[in-house]
Amino acid sequence: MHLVYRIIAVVFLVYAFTWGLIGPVPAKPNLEETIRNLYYHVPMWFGLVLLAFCSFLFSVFYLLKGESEADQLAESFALTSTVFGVLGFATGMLWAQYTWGNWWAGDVKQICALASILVYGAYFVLRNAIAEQQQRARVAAVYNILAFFSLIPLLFIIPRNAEFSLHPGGQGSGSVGNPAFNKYDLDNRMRLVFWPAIFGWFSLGLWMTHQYFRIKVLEIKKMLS
Amino acid sequence: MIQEVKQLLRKEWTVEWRQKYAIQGVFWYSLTVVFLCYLAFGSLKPFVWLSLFWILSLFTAVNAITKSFVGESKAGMAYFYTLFSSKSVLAAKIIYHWLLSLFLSLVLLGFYSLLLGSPVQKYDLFFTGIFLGNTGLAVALTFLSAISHKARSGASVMAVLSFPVLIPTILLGIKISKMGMDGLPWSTAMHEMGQISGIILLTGALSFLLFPYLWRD
Repeated sequence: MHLVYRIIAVVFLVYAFTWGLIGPVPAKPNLEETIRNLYYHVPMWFGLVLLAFCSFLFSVFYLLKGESEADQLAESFALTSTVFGVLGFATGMLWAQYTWGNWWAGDVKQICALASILVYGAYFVLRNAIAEQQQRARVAAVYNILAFFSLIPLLFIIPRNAEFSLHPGGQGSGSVGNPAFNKYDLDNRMRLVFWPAIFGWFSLGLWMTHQYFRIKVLEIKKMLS
Repeated sequence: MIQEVKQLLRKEWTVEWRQKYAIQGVFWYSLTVVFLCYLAFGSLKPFVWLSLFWILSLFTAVNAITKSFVGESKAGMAYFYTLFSSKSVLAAKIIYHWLLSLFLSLVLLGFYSLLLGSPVQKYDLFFTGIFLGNTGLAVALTFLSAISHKARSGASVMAVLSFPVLIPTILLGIKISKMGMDGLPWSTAMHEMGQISGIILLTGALSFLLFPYLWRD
């Protein structure tokens, strides 16, 4: 099982990095070659949502079963999810600098993305604020569930209702609906890189989570002995 | 359950009235802060007027609600849980904070309009925005104050936890009350009212589902 996602991560990401950079892309005004950032920027948001969902599942599992591994897994997933969020933000700002002319364009999706990073930042503040282990696990699990549900308006409702967004998928941008799937009328050549890139990045996220989880387990073992 | 909630509400009210400093403190806090804004800004453009009002409203609500669970001692809380179900405790806290935050924002609005004037054209829609926004604030803040009470680290954790989670509620509240301020018809605000009600219901449902886990010490 672990071997599967490791292989997927390595193969798909090597492919996405090489073919993503040299493969053919449609020529769009203003976007030009920066359209290739699609392979790196969008998978970050897929990764963020999927990893946050895993974290949420483990928090629910912890509340139901009370196993401390579930709590450590929830924390590890939340951490990788936040890392993906920060990277998505960074790649987005780089893209915005080239196409919109500014690092921070005040776009509704930038605002909501920043808010969702703040939500998860608070999760780690809360964890560090509680010393007693079981108490920390339980309170953090409760907050994590709330945090996941607060992602829904931030990432899926507010951006799509905004009167104006520079991102595709806003009501003012001409392509109403899901921002990821109509993106740039994603042509078939790009789809061949885009989907493998998403699976590759997500698998890398799983890999990172697993490594972090193993470090956590070792730390706890060391603390107990 | 309703009986229990009633008793708990009476208890909240008695405690509040016995130590008047809390409610008085928030009252004078809102007067001072409005006075400070008046001195600092003089007069305001309508949109700035509205945004500033919501920010003051948010801080007043956070100030008033943070102390809710912090004020309870551990032994006192344990005693309550032998008497009442956790759902009634949460329901009573939410109802109490809801009324309190509505009252405080009306007081705030009174001072604010007195000193800084009021550009509002359509009061019914404007008050609906304030009503829904404050309902959302009260529900979310009550639950978050229960969480931050468990962290036992005072107001800073509360602020870090609550502000990002409250962003959608505040934004929608501002949007609806702005429509009221500009005198737009009710039909324009329906979409936003639906969304904010959805958020309130979702937060409320989550609070009731998760609250028992917070107290299983």
